[in-house]
Formats: sequence, structure tokens, C-alpha cells
Amino acid sequence: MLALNAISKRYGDVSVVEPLDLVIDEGEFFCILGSSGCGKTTLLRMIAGFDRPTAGRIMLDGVDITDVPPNHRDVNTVFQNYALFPHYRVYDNVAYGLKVRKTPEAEIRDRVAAALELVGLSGFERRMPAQLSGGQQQRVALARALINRPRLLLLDEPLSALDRKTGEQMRQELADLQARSGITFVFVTHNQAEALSMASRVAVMNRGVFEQCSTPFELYQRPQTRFVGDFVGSMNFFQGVVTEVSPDRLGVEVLGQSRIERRGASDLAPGDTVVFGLRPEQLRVSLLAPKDYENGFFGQIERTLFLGEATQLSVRLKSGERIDVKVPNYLMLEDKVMGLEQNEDVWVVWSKGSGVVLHA
Amino acid sequence: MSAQLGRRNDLGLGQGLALKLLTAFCMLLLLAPLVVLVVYAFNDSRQVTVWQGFSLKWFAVTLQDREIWFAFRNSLIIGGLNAVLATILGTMAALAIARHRFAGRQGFLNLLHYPVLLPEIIIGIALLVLFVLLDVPRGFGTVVAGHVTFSFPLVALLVLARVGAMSRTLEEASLDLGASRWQTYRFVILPALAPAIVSGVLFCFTLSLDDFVITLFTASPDVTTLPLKVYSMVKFGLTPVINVISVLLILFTLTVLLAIHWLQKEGPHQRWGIRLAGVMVAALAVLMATSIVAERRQETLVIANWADYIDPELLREFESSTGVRVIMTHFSSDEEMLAKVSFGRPGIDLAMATPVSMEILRKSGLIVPFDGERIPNLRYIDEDFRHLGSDPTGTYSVPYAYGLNGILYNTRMVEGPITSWWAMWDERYAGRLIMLNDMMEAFWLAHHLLGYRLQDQRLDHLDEAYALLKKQRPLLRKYESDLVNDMLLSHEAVMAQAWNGQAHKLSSEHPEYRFVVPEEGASLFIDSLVLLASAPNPDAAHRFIDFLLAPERSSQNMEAILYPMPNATARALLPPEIRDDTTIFPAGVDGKRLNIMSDPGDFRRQIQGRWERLLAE
Repeated sequence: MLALNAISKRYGDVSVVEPLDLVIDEGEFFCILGSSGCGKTTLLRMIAGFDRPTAGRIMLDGVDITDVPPNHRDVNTVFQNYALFPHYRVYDNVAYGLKVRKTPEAEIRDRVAAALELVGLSGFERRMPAQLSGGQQQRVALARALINRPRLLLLDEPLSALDRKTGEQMRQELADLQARSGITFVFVTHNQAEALSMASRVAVMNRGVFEQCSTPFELYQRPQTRFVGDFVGSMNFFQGVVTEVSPDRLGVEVLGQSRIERRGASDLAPGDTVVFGLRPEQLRVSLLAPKDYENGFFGQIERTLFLGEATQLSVRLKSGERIDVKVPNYLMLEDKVMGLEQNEDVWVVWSKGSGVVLHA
Repeated sequence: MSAQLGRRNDLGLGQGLALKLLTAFCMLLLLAPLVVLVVYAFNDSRQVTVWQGFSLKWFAVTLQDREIWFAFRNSLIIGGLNAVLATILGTMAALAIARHRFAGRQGFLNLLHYPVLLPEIIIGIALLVLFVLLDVPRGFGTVVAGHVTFSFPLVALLVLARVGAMSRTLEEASLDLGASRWQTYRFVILPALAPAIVSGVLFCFTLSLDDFVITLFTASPDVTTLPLKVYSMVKFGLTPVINVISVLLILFTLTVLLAIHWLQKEGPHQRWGIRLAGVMVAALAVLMATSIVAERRQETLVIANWADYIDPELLREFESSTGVRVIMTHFSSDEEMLAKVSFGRPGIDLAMATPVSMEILRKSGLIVPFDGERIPNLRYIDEDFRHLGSDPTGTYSVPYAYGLNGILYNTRMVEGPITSWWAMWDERYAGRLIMLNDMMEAFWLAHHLLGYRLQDQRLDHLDEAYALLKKQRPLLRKYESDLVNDMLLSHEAVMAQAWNGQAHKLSSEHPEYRFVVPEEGASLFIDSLVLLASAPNPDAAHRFIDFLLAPERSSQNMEAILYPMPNATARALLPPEIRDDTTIFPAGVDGKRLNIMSDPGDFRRQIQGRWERLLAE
């Protein structure tokens, strides 16, 4: 439905968005995830029509809209700070898009009522924006955009100004809203939890390029770059060398030990230098050496960090490297994880095949 | 950082108290003059610094003064037009700077500060020169153009500040929702800027209402505004009418400030601000509309005159009998009058001139002789006044009124009767004597008392005169022209050199004060009407003078302004209490002992140097 063809944006010598391609399908909840300054907002503004791409085309339903001004694009935006018109009541804010298109008054009334009901704000018509809470303003902004029944709804960090609880509650509502309205959402955020919980697909953006574009599950379980692995969740990384390649097996040597993994980039050849990644929650600590279906490193517990639902252990390996292990707290024994103490010697153990092998 | 600040504020009661006292002192400095001004508007006396009881009579006097009304109306029209034009231009400029990129944008932004940074007088002169070069006749249009020039940048800066504070995403949101650029301006930008724009309207109106300097340079004589009127009134000493006008202006300005203050706040106050502003704008619109309707084009006669120097009743009578509208333009010094009539196209018919200025005007061809046959009432002018030194043929001027310089003293505190100028050197009254703050009068008197003539222009005589004045200097309270009556009334001084017209204002209310023309003689001023070569309506000028010289009107006029006129027939018609008043018509005045001041030419510089030394002591 929306297609970006080799779209890019430069300001003078500074490249903000490198030429990139993207296709978004009808009804998707598409999320662009990245830290501030990665170019995600610029990308969104180009889709909305506020910024012109330096090169490349934007197609909506097969029509080139690159040169169409924002007011003639069938696209609406929910802004980060909501951008409600402070001098208009809720009703007039929501009605704005219909009013400027000269919609009949009776139709406006009905559709405003429906839009406010959709976001759960019936009865707030006569309030001024300043009299609303952040979450309520957010819903007004949503209603104001959705009332125009756009082909595409763009959301620019819409939850970042809300407190954590409200933000989490809104995630659920946004997902529901998207499902019920069937409108395609493009959602920009720096918050991986938002992206993973709502999106049907996530594009991770870094320095103007897409690092990876896939479902949240893929993204988390099979990161394709070191950046994605680190940015989405967290990951321990080690240098390694490929020792063996076969259709269902990949052998890697890490820290002088041979590891057998099943997953990894398929274009590797023996002798290639790679990065080997392990998520802290894929690991466990044990006083016993790994079984033959497991891999493991030996080290000493250096530090423990209580996180609430889990405890993070930092284990210093013999080789001097450090590895983080996240242990669920239901395994806690009288204030100590499985009775483990600081400075205790332990094995860090994982199932063969649960790590990822990435290009160096 | 903030912790440090917090500690500093908590240093103790001592500093808090000092800060409060300092604040109070600053407020006092700021407000004391205004409070005094307001309080004395309700004073019963005609003196401006001596309290005599509560009265509203000066409000009545002010509101009945037709020239104040004219000036007020002009101020309203100019202020209203300026408010509308400057606000439109200023808002457009602000939007252009804030929302568009164009060549010279930064330069344009910097230029907006020029009315704040440049002295007003330079803008005024620049405008005047421009209008004269372009041969644009001065009038409402030029004043409004001048006011717009200095006020629209202020609106632009005001609006610009608001645009800066306005999030740009509001515009984007509007475009995003399908609104066109125009709809975005109309529904989003302008409403968001409304408080700044309405403040701008009020601000411009107030600036325009208060402006003096630029109006002075760009106005034609028939466009006297309130500040110009007030300024010209000061010439004859401060009267409480000026306080009343000031009180009204202060009230208006405070209301505007309150409205602007409210407009800048969010919430319910803003709505009150908009209501208040709305009421004010509506009221001003109505006043302006009625003013413009009243301003029908008709035959006019423009006279440059001192303020309060003609009976307004006579003007009304002349207007209703001839259909010619008389417009007074006021000046407050001879030099100002000369500037007014000599530059560009002044549009003035008659001017009130002293012998000195008449001579200058005649030599530079700016005045023309009257046609005596069209003024039959010229025959009533006293023969002595018909052929004064500067107008030997008696055709260039028609003597209007004169005044005498003498001694005004408190009979209860000075051992009288006073008959000689030497009383002003009497050491018994040391520190309680006042001489006029007038260089030529002081040096003429000193020469005269020494038996010399100032017009001989001899340096040795000048030095002797200087020595005489220097001897007097320690005895003087000060050299003062404007507040002589007030200082006598408050007993700060007991005896003063004064003009009889001024003296009469005091002695008519307080009989213990007496005015005498000392036996040595005195200085005389005489004001004459002259006809400008560029007069647009010389016919009405002749008719007006003939009208004025009829004895019964001349008498009425004298009764109103209380200056003697050289018209013996008219004087005989005066009520006895005025005719016999020795202050208005001092006794024993012999023409030979009276001096008419003439221009000292280059000798003025010699006098000036010595005068400045006297003032410095």
C-alpha cells in the first residue's frame, strides 16, 4: 500500500536518511524503532509531506505522492506533543479536518461523536485542551486524526510524554484501535517495549539505514546485526571464528572453545571472523559442568543486581571477559539466587543452538 | 547553583528589609510625579503646586474647551488609523520573518529595532525632509504615515515573540488535517496570535496618542494632537487643565495596560482582557466614526497662535457668521513659530509674531502686507502702536496685545510700596527674590539701570551689566519663569520679576500680591498678527482681523485673555473692575520708558557666555 523507493534525505553534507526501500501492507501496524537522531522522525515527516525527500519516490496505493503537499495526502499524523489547537474545544479540535473540507454540519456532529466514543472520550466535547490530562489529550489527538478515515495514520512517539502506567495502558488501546479501524498505522518510537508489544512488523533504524525489518519475534530471537541484538533487549557478545559449515550445523570457536550452533548467517565459510551473541535470559548458572547438549564458560560471580522480576549476575570469565546472566527471581532461595554468593565459582551454561552468530 | 541562590535569599531579615526599602524607594521615584500630577488636577487653585482645596472645576473647564476637543478628536483619528495600519503591517512583517526565508531577512529583522534605538527627533526630521522633498502637503496622512513608521516595528516584535512561542507543529497539524495555507492562517495562526495582535492594536493606539516629537514634525497646523496642545499650553505657565488632560491620558493608558496584561495570560483573565479590549476598540471606533463625520471639508482659516490667547467664543461667533472654520495651531516660543511657518507648505494664514520674528519674516519675504482698505476697523488701533520699529509702514502687522514686565510682590512680607527695580537688589530679601529665566530681559534691565543701551552692543557696558547681575545672583532664590506664582504663594519667595498677564492670575485671586511697573521703566512685549505669503485663504484672514478689531469684540477678547490691547475704544467698554485693574493696565506707563526687545544679532554670543556663568553660580 505504501512504498518508499530509494528515499533519502540530506541537509547539506549531513545525511539523515540513507537511500532506503520499504513496502508496508494494508492493515499493518508498522513500527520504526530507533534512538533519537537515527532519522526515524525525518522519515515519518517525509511520508506526511512536511519534509521533501532529497531523492527517491513515495507511492501510496500506487500513486506517486512525493510532490503532493501534506493537506492533499490521505495521511494523518498524531504528533509527539499532540499539537492540539489550544484555542479550540475538544469538539472543534476533532471536527477540524472535516470542517476545513466543508463537510455538512450534521455529518460532522455524528462523526465527532463516533470518533470520541472510539477513544472513550464521550462527554468531553466542551473541554479545552488545557483542561485534559496527558492521556486524554492523546486520545483527542487520535480521534482528530482518525475521524478523517486516512489510508495511513502516522504516530510520532505518541506515548513518550505519558507516565509509564498510562503509556502501557495506551499500548493495548492503540493495538485494539488499529485492529478495529483496520487503518494502517506507522508508529515511530525509541521504546523497544512499545514496538515489540504493538507492531506487526518492526524496522530498526540506525544512522539513517534499516538494520533489520521483521516481526517482533524474529527481531528479538534472530537479530541480524550486532546493533539490533544490543538495541532490542540486551546481549553478550564475543569474538569467534567459524570452524564448520553444513546445511543444519554451524561450528564456531569462541574463547578457545569449540561451540556448535545451528543458527547464523548462511553465507559464512570456515575461517570467517564472527560475533557470537547470547541473551542474558538464555543463560543459567550452575555449579556443575555443562552436559553434552549444553555449552558453558567457567567464571566467578562478580556482582549481583536485583531487577525485581529477575536478578542480573555479572560473571567474570577466566579469560577476563564479563558475561551477564539474568535469573528469574522465582528461583530465589532466601535472598540468594539458588544459594549463590558473590565470588563463588560457577558455570555459565546455555543450550546448544540458542546463541546467534552474526557478521563481525 | 539554585541552592546557592536560595541561601543568599535567606541571609536574614536585614537584607530582606533593605531589599524592601530599595523597592519602595524605586516605586516612589516612579510614581511620585504621577501622584502629584493627579492630585493637583483636583486642586481648586489655578496654581499647579499650591493646594487650595478639592474641586472638579478644572475637569469642567477642560471638557468645555473646544480646542482640547479638536485636539482630542485629531488624536483619536490618528491613533485609530495608526492602530489599524500598523497592526496589519506589523503582523504581516512578523509572519514573513518567522515563517518565510527570503533575502535580507536578518537585515529586516535588525531594522525592526530602529525605532527603539534611533532618537525620535531623527525619525521626525527624516520624515519631514522626505515629505518636503516629495512635496507632500502635511496633514492627517503624513502624521499617520509617521506614526505607522515607528509603531509597526513594535507590533512586529510583539507578534514575533508570540509566533516564536507558538509550536510550529500546530501549523503542521492543521495542514496534515487537510487545511489549506489560508485556512491554517485563518483558523490556527491568527487565533493563536490574537492576544498579541489585540495588544498591538492597543499599544499602537497608545503610542500614537502619546507621541509628541514625530507628530510635531509631520503635522500640519490644522492637525493639532493632544500632546501638541498640552505642550503649547505650557507656554503661559502650567494650568490645572494640563493636569486634567494628563489624568485622562493616564487613566486611558492604565486601562490599555490592564487589557494588554490580561491578554498575555492564559485562562479566564484572557477572556476578560479580550472583552475589555473589545469594549475599548468599539468605543474608539464609534468616537472615530463620529469624528470623521464631523470633519466635513469646508472653508478654513488657520492661525498660528500662543495657547489660550484668544476668546474661543469669538471664534465660534466668526464661524457661525461666515461659515469659515477657524483652526488654531499653537506654538510655545518665537523660534517654534518661525520654524512652523518657514518650512515646506505650512498651510497657515495668520501668525502671531513678536517684533523680532516679524522682522525676520519680512526680510525673508515670508509675509505680505495687509490690504488696509479691507480692514476698516484698523482705525481703532492706538496711534502709538501703528508704526513700530520693525514695521515702519504699519502695513505688515496688526498689533494684537501687549504685556509689561515689572515687579510682583507680597505686600504683607515686603516693605512697600515698591517703586524701583533696585528693590530686586535689596539684601533684606536675600534668598527670596526671583528673576525671570530670560537672558535678554536680565541684561536689558542691567544695562538700563546703569544708564546704558543694550543695542549699542558695547563689551565694556556688557561687563558692567554682568557685574551688576553677579552682585544680585546670591540674593536670588533662582531664575524662574514658569512657577513664579506658585513660589510666591508658598512663600518660597516674596518678590519677583514678572509679566503682568501672569501676575494678574495671582493678584486676582490673592489681593495681597501687587504688581508694579518700576519708575525706571520696563520691557514691553507686543504680539502682532502677520499675513503669510503662502496663506491659502488671505480673504478670510482679512475678514477675521476686521471682525476681531471691532471695539466690542476687542473688549470681549481682552476680558477673556486679560492682556491689554492697543485699542482705546475697546478698553473704554471694559467692565470697570478690569479697566481699572492696575495689573492689567499698569498705572503711569510712559511710552518713552518702555523697551521693545530687538534682535542682538551676533552680540547674542557675548551675552550668552556671561548668562551661562550666572546660571552656573
